Amino acid sequence: MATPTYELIHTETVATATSSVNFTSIPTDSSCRDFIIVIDGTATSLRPVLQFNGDTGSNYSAVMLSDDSPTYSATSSGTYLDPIPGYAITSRFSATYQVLGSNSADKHKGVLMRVNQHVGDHVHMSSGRWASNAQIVSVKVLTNNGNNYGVGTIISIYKIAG
Amino acid sequence: MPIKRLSQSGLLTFAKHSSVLAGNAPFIPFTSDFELLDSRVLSSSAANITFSNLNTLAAGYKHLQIRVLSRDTRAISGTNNVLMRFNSDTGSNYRQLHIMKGDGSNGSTYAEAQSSSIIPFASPSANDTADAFTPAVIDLLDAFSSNKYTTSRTFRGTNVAAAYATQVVLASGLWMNTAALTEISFEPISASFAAKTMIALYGVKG
Repeated sequence: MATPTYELIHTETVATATSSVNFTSIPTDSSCRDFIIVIDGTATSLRPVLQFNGDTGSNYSAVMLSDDSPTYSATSSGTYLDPIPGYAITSRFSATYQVLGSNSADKHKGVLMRVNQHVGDHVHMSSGRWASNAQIVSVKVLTNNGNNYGVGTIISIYKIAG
Repeated sequence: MPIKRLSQSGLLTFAKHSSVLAGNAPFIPFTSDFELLDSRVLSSSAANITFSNLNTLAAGYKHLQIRVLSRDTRAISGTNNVLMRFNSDTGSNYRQLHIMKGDGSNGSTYAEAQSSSIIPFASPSANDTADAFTPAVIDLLDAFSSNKYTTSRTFRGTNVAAAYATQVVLASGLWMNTAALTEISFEPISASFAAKTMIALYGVKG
């Protein structure tokens, strides 16, 4: 019998505008080698960023390539994982974060990210690293500035076995 | 097919059934359209990682996805290319890479001529930030077709503070052969994959 390999862990539809959604109890066994977060959302002025295991230290880095002219940027020692430094999403957007090695206890986590920003018509791709060997047990989807995700924003998390 | 409810089995109701399901709905085993086929996590360094017998291992699947966290043992600081080959073909039958890359301060596009491998990703090396690995996701579409060349698409990045080691890349590659895939191998261009490197192979139905 086939082993479930790509499974929804949880999905959240924002009912009241909020600046963060926390997913806890992420499996650390082989059912969750990687996980994927998908956001289909609205915003007024924000960037959708991540923190793992409640880590607010300066342990996040990322590099971005954007179609905007184009634009390049790199951040290191950030306090959250930011896929689109310097940008502000003001309307509809979608974002996908692929977190590789989530259940590993012996290496940093690699993250591949894409963001589509409908106002401004931008597409961004970026790669990030969380400088921690801890297994990921929770992920917080927050905003860079405390502004809220709009009502109806859907945030889903899927796990991939490995 | 298992009987799930005794109340419908006839054992309690004495009802007679013409089917062994005895009134129960058929039990359909879980099937997946995206399935883990093989996974390698290195406990020590290795010169290469190879997935073989794909004709049986991936039977029933149309596409393949390979998910990678890679590092190598080369005694440098900076990324080290990894070669991908199919069906043990070491001839000049590949288009090595076509890439779109951002390194934080510049962007570039690049295409390379015919070569003896595809370069889907590059790994941090021994002198780079400890425990930092390159994440990469490689898609091989219609990998078992016998009437078209095999193409690869890779999304990957590296985030360590060394020359050529902070980058996000979208890349494609081509194997100019119409044979169905039976083997995929990965090999650092020099030195070996480091311990803790992970490469997993998934099948996708289509």
